Amino acid sequence: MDTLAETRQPDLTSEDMTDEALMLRVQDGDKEAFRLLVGRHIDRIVGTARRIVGAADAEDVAQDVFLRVWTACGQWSPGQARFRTWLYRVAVNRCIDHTRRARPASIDDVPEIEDDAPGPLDACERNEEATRLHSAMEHLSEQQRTAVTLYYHESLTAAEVAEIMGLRLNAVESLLKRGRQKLRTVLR
Amino acid sequence: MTPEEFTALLDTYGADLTRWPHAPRQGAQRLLEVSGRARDAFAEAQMLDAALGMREPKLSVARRQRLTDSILDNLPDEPTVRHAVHEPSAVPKRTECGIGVVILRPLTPLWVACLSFGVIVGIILTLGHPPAPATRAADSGWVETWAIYGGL
Repeated sequence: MDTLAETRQPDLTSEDMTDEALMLRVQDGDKEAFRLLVGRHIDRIVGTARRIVGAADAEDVAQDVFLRVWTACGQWSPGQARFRTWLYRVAVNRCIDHTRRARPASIDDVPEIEDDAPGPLDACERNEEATRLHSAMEHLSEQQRTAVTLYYHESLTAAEVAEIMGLRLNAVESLLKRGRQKLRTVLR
Repeated sequence: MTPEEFTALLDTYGADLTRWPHAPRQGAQRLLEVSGRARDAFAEAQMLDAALGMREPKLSVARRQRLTDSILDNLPDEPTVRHAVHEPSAVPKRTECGIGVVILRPLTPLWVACLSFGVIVGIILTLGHPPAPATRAADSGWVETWAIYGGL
């Protein structure tokens, strides 16, 4: 058994370890490995949540996502899915749960985003563009918003989006097409 | 490829042709060389791609740290589901291979139908063949019921 444990927990420095190697440690209850995984992915998950549920609740949802990753880590299998794909699946499910029980957010609820942008004008322009896009995204259905976010914001392939959302490829292609058509109309 | 087909593909896969399925790429390139309408649609699609791909602003260092600490502080001591994947039980669960699953469960409607049929046949036979007089006297309630439902 000791040999098995050594095989599963190679003595690598944290930076060298893949997500999958860290997840194997997390499955053994290693909180330090979990902290590293959170550090690697938290910006991405908060960003995705901002697009799907809105900025006001994005950090709460991200917290929920990582707590779920910890409690359900045994459900992840290195042979079945890349950790990133599995993480997005958890995130999408949490976002959907959240939107189904959330009240509509008012603009006053949205916290100001602390940003490392180079200058105030750039930041202002970026914020304007981002606000316009966020407003347009609200016109999409929940599934369209999720598919568009994963495909464009996260640069995943349509096949990966299909796997994450548990849909067929042609269903995702249809969501992307309709979502984008709607965005084109709204942003015009 | 027609401009309409090109626009439909742009809507589905975006303006980055490397993300398109391989087959229609060459047709799209050729169309872009000859059609001003296609080029306009492509330019518009590129702008939308840029907006959609715009990175969300990163959390500030302090905020990021607070969020990470909050997640770590709220963890249960150990993951609740451990080794579910790496250490599957050697003995399959009873519900996965027992007689109940193999034979009984798929035939549940049949068993229910047989049972119902048996009960109905039993009632009909009982009503069609009244008991002997000695029994009737001892069971007058049954005689009343039998008369009401047309057995006499």
